Amino acid sequence: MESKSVFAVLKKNVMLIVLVLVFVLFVILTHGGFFSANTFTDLVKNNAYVFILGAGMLMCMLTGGNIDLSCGSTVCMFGALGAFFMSTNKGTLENPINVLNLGVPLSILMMLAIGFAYGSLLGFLIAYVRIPPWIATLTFFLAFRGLGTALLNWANPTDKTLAYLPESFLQTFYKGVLFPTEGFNWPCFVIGLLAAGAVVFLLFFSRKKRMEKGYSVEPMYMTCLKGGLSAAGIILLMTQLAMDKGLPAPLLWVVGIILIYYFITSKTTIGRHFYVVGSNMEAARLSGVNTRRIMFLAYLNMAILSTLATMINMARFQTAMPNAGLNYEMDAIAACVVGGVSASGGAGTIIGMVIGATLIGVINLGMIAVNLDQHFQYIVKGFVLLAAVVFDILSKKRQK
Amino acid sequence: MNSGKSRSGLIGLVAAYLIYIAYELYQGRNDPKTTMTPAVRIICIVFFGVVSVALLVYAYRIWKQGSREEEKPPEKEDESLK
Amino acid sequence: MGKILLEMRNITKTFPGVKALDNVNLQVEEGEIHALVGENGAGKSTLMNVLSGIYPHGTYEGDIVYDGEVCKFSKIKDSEKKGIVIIHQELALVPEMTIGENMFLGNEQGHKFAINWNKTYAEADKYLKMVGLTESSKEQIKTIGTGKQQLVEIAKALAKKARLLILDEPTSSLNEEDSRALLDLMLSFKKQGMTMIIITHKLNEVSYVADKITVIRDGATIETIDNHGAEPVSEERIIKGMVGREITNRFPKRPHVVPGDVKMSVRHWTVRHPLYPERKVVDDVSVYVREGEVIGIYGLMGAGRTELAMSIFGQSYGVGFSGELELDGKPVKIRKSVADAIKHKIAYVTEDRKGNGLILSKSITVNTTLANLDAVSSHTVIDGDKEFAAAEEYRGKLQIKTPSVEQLVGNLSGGNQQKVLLAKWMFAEPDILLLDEPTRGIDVGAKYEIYCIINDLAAAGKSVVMISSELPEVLNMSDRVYVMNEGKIIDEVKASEASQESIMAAIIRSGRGA
Repeated sequence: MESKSVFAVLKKNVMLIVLVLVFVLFVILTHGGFFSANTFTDLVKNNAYVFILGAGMLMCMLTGGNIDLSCGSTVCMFGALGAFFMSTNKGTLENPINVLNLGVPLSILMMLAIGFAYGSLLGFLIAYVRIPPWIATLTFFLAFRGLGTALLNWANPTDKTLAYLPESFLQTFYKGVLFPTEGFNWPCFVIGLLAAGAVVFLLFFSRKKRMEKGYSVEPMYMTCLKGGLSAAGIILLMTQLAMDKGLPAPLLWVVGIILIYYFITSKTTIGRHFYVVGSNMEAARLSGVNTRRIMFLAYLNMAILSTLATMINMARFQTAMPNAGLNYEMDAIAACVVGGVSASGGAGTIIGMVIGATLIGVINLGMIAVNLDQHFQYIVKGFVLLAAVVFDILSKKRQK
Repeated sequence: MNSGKSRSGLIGLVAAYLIYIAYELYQGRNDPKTTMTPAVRIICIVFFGVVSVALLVYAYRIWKQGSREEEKPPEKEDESLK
Repeated sequence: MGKILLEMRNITKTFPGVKALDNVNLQVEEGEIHALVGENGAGKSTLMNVLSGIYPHGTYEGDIVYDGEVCKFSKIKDSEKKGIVIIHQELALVPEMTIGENMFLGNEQGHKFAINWNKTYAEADKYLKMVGLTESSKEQIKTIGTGKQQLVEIAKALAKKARLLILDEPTSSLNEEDSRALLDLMLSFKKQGMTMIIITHKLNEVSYVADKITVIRDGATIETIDNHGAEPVSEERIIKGMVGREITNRFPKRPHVVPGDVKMSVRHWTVRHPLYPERKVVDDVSVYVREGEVIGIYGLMGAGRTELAMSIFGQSYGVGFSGELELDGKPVKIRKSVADAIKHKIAYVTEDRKGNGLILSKSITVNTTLANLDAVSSHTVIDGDKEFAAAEEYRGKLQIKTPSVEQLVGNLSGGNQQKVLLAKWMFAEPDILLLDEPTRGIDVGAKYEIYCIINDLAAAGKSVVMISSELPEVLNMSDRVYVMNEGKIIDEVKASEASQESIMAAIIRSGRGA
């Protein structure tokens, strides 16, 4: 459910336009090179973790601007654990590697169980023991990085990494393609057309329905713009993916997560509770909302999503490394902030986060594509964050 | 209303990240591959440094404001008995 | 006709979509107490915000002429420099700091980096004496009562060398005794030549202290009434100006409802303070309410009424409970959960609608359904249409003035906000409603509408517990009245047999340790 202030609505739509403009900018700067299958594949597969962690971070931030600083280190720790569970390489006699080789299903189950346990612990500490989320997650940010590295050192003293993850795992979470074909992947393209059609249809249909019932609607040109851009974007994406190999596994995961959380945040009572707790916790409490449980769920949810992100990350690098997940929490937070999620809680949407994540992804990839000096890249990143924060501050001032 | 304390935390976080960026810029000052002139580099370091300090101050003020608002008695009746 | 100290000429202020002030004219003579009255949203506070510089020069049209010269204030400090000091409704004191520190916050004595504390406290004590406080300025704010804190605010204004003192709803959080003391203080200031503007809903206060009364309605000056006559201006006369119509009765006629069985009763209810568990905030209280009955709980600040209500409501306040609660004659143990209380058909309407009652940043719809979302959802999926219909239903029922239920609650006037709060709890379909100061800070017209709503609830068989600090309200709206003081019930009377004097007497008696 969106905050209805004009500023918030504007903000959401502005970001979409900014995204398009920035994308076009990079295409121009690279003389069309940016507009390639590579870019899109990269955006989807290598940026997947931002969307997934961003969804979790969104739920946390909704409860009142709370964040999870540990998700990056969680990716490292859980990655190490997961590799420990499922790696098939026992090493050589001189350099033995400690792994359990438990097989993929069991390993995944165990990872999820551990994620659940971690999330419950974190949620308990934050919601019931009332430890500020900052401190709690910062602790794990440090602890998990250390523990993950230690585990990897112990398991594989020579390389300090763990590889040889089973192929089925890699396929499920990164390499796999839905309906693989030779050459141009028609299934992917067709799915793209269907999806684009569905989105446009839904946009106009829901608008019509709302008008009939007498609700306020956005101006027609806005809907057309949104519809046009979305359809173009989807078809573009799917075409490029079709030219590469087809619909990659991470896209399925990401789209699934987005759909689920879109539904939860905009249509369910629990989603409503999240928004309300973040807007005015005391009023929510006195209205019968179990505020502690919401906080607990926010962090439990984050942990589960972190586990999923870990799996995708492991499959992408095919190795568990000590520096896995570095900066991931900042990426997730930035995606939310840039995507219009309020830093004080109670406002923000999953679509906003997606746009924010995509924008950051495009900027990152674009800078690499134009061979921008690494140091300038830092500056650009800094400016983007700065702009988002300033925007947030200004919109708060406007509200007053 | 919720106090704006968590908001100050996020702004503080961004400020810290900007300091990190300034630090990285500083660390890379002797990088032979860079296309950044020393002048630009210094300007950027100073810019990000100043901006992050400003943000930190702002975050601190919001935090103090949030604390003050939390301190105010929630019910006007909640005072010492006569 | 004395010298005109302040003249606000043709002040017009527009916000996007609404003209808050439309050619408002105000003339205040030196040394007079000028009352500004009007319904909520009429523009009184906006006018004062223009005067004090909160809305800087350039954001309004018209002129402020003070002491003969046209003033262009760009911030509050500018108006304060001229001696115009405004005391807002919400106290701006920091509880942890001392009285002296608070008084000179923003007005520090000494050099920029070295505050002269001796001077600060000496000056502070001087001003405290002027307002009749005997406390030392070294004491912390949180140790003194709201009534005295209000006086500290006034002392703070005096320290800024105020010549024109503006008081915005100064007695809204005070009981009768402290209100009277403050009004008397104003009269004594007047004798010393201070000019004052008071904004208030309480018409009896206006009659008591005002020399002139300016009525503002819908952003325009309606009339200025002179209160210098032999008889103080009647409240009816003022109301007529404010509302534009005669209100012969401030309170609607109570329907003749025969109360049913006892719906809820608490016995020997004791609650302790969450931070200081040795203190009994509610002490051995026994009250009951029947179906179709309205009971009033009257008391002074700190009497423990809110705490009583909140502790019944899912233990949302306090620790160390003891006592029995019976619903429909059966003993009930409500756990520490608001949701549980709601399930038992109890509703608590807080006294702080903006703070912990409503979600100001969300729409009327969201606020209306919040306590009973299940009624508009199936298997946790919210039915947007059902929700909208529910909000519309209550908008009509309670006559909430708004262009649409999608409007954010924060943009509504106080009276309409209170109606949304009531709507929320009525939507939860309770049998027992605990109303905590349901008409605080709202105008006469809206109050009447809320009284009608309360009467309708009683007529429908609900049990209403009304906590209020306004004696006329309590006496006119309740069937029975409980009087609470210092955590104890000191009196229980039928409203028809009680009077303002008898109740005040009971409180004084108990205060004397009887």
